[in-house]
Amino acid sequence: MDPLEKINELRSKVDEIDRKIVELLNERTRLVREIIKIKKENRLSLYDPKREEEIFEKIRNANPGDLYNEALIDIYETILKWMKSLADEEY
Amino acid sequence: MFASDKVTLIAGPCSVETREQVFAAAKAVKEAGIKIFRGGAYKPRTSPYSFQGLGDEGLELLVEAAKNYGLMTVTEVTEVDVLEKVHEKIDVIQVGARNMDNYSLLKKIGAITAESKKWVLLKRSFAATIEELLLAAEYILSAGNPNVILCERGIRTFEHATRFTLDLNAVPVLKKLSTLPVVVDVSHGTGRADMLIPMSRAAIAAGADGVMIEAHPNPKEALCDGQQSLQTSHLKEWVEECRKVASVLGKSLY
Repeated sequence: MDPLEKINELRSKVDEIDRKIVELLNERTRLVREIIKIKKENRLSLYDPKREEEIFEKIRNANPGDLYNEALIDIYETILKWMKSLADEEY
Repeated sequence: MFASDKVTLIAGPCSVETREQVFAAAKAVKEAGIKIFRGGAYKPRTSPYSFQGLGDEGLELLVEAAKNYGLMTVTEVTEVDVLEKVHEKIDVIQVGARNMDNYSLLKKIGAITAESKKWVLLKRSFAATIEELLLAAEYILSAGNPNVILCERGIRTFEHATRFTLDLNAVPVLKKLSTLPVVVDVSHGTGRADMLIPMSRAAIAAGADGVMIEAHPNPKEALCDGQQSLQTSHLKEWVEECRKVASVLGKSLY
């Protein structure tokens, strides 16, 4: 197969994965928004470092190993940063 | 001591220096209608040759002066060795900016206050992010004491017009992320007596639950941080200015 053709084929698979990731991130956002609402109503702390650590632990455990754990944690730190900023939405 | 409709004021000298000085300061604090009296007995100083505080004697004088005028006390604990004494005698245990990341001290404070639930005023290090401050607080919270006060006191930046840059952004950020009370130390945050009142007004306007100020009967003769201390004769004016801004927000002073 022509190498460019092969690259294009792989890229279309990557695009499909990206689409799924974006969809899942949006689904995750909707759930987090519900959590934030409950936390605010009950005056619970939005910041919960223990929960963040639990998430990282679950991610490390779920990692089949194609990526370094460190890379996944880095990606997740960014995700969590934006999830926390959802609390600012009311403005 | 802290409530959503209150602004809590804390005032007193940087350091306890003499009996006369601490009693004069306590009297002025009381007369200004302030309920919480601060004063350092154990002082962490940048230079080992600077005044290091009166130590145990300073603690006793602070407690005596506060008791005489019916005030609550705040003092800094600099090391594990003095923690037990301070915990026994003082109402609010302060962790200074230089000790914010002294995790063994934070763990010990967590352990000793787990049952007493004494208030701990945790200052943000001048080189710490907001998240690092929240994680430092977590050392005390996770031990079982929910009574932690977060204190913004300025961070180091390239700006030299003021001693530190008072990060008032931290107030709404902390109020959003956590449910803990947030206090602003305007003396360290500015390092300048002429800015204490304007920045106190700004802190309250930003949503702070309290303001802390250094006040000395004679700042020019203070052994520590005189240039950032309010003369105690101006305390009433300070309280009045704080009251004005608080009332706009529907809050009253504590």
